[in-house]
Amino acid sequence: MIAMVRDDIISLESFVQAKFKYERYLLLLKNAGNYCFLDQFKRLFEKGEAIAKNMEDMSLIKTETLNNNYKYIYLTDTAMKYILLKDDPKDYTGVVKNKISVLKVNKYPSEKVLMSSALKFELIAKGKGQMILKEELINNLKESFYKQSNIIKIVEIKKEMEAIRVEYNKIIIVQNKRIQLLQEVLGVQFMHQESNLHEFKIQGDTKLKVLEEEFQNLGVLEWKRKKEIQEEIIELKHELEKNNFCIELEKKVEEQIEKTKAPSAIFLKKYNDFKNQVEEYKKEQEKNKKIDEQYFNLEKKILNMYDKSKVVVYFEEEKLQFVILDTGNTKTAFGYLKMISELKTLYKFSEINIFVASYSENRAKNLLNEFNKTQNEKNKALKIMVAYEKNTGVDRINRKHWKYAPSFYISAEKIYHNTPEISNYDYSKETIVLEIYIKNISMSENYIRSKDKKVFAELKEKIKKQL
Amino acid sequence: MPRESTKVKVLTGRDTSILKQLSRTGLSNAQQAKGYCNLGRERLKKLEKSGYIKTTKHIVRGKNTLIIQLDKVGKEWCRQELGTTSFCVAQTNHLNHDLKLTEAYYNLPESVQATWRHEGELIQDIYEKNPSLSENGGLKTCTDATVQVNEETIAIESVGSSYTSSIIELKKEIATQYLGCSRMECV
Repeated sequence: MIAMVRDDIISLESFVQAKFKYERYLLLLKNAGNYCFLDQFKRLFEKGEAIAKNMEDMSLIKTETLNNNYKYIYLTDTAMKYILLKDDPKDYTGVVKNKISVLKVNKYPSEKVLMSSALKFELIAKGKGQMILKEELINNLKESFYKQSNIIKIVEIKKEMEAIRVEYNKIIIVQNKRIQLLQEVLGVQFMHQESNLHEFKIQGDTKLKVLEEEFQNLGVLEWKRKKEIQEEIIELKHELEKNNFCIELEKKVEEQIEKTKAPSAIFLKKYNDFKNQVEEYKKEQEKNKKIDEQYFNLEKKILNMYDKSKVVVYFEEEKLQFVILDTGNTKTAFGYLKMISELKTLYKFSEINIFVASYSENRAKNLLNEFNKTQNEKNKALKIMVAYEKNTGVDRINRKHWKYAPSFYISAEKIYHNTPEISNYDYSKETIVLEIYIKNISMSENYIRSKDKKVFAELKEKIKKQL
Repeated sequence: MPRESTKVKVLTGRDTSILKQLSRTGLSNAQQAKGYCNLGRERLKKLEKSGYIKTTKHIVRGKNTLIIQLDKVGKEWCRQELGTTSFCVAQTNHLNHDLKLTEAYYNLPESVQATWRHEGELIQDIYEKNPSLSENGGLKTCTDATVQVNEETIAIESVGSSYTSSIIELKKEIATQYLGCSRMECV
């Protein structure tokens, strides 16, 4: 394996080990969210224990106690520097290594952060969580959203236009030189007297006609005048002949110039075609501005759900895939359905598939039961609505024109419309193994920082003195 | 040999002290229950089985922690025995902050603990005295609690990791201006 080694960001040995031996694990940890359980790491990889130990020795990971039985792993500053700066063009030679700042991984993560990270780590390591990667998620969203719209690659067109413009300018310079040379060779000074040549021909022809007529009408005795006219006719014919030659020559030169101009004309046409294409695209863009705004809002929403609510949302054709990373929060099925309803205002999907990735089978099943209940409520509401419609003979299609609707119908309608229909729901059996890690309670006194303990002692003293 | 009951027969002083605390600060953890009320896991299990408390496991500062909150029977007991009308609401997404506040509570003498008023009560008081403040979404923030020490009202604030100096200043201003506090103790 050949690779560039950088000892300006981390020590040479750590870099070599990270690059050649442990990159896969480092990237996996980073993609999962910087944390996983130590036992999970050992279980998922062959020789995991030795790998984790070596990585810890190389200061690429650190471990922290979760409870009496289990520990968790987190990425160190060295690992973060390797991941984030290995492709950084900036040379850090001369900068003290601990002065190079990168995003620091918190030694004590919150429950949400640790559990979502461990869940993602489990799924990705088992090859079941490709879509959990943020990058994949965004790509999928873009692809699904703009699938139908035929987007012109404006940047590429502009590049091509610029290339054509440069080429066109070069050709114009060559062409002008060629025309100049052509004119010099042919000595066509009359090129700019085009209208005079034709005028002279018309005038000359008329004059010739007049002279010839006069010559015909002259008597025998008027030989002197006849001679003059004859001379004049010869002179005029000579001039006209010369003029005709000039017209002919000019025509030939014009043809020659047109031929010279031909390549640039092709370029000009091509350039103008592109220009029109860009202008039309711009007009189209104006129309699509609203769609783009909608996409922006959708992306923002989905990223927010990914980062804050720990819900992974992606689309497969018109199916919404809703993966809940259960981190031990108290969110109910209604809370998640509210999120789905919000998504529906931004993107149309016909099917909803819910997948719960939890560390606890009971929690996952309970949540799915809650979803089931919402679907039952929806069906119940529909039955109420249908029964009322049947009894009164009204049609739901004309609902807007109904003069009256009873309150029970309105509340059933609300439930029916506000509860999205779920096509499939299931939970991950892969992640249940994580439950053992958080079964045991820690009795460590570390729930309060040692510096805070001093503050409490001071407060106690202060109040005591005051009493 | 008779089987030992899994439920609480009589509430002891140790039990009542945790119930009082839970009604005032919202939650505590197994370490605090053991350290300040001398309640072991077994007793907590019995209290839970009897409906006085509910326990959940959460990771706080990287440690798997048993979080204790009041349950229905516990709330009812507080209403009847202590005359509690307003319970402190604790959220599991601010565990670190809430556990610090509980720690502050337990570090106060018992006579001062009895004067503890939680955020919900304080906000209610402010709105009653200044109805205009409840308009437009109400107060954006408030101090976590107040205690009485020799006629003097002191505000207690558990400083969260995301607090800026301007937020702390605002809390201090609310404490002194609307709650009559002489000072604010930040923990």
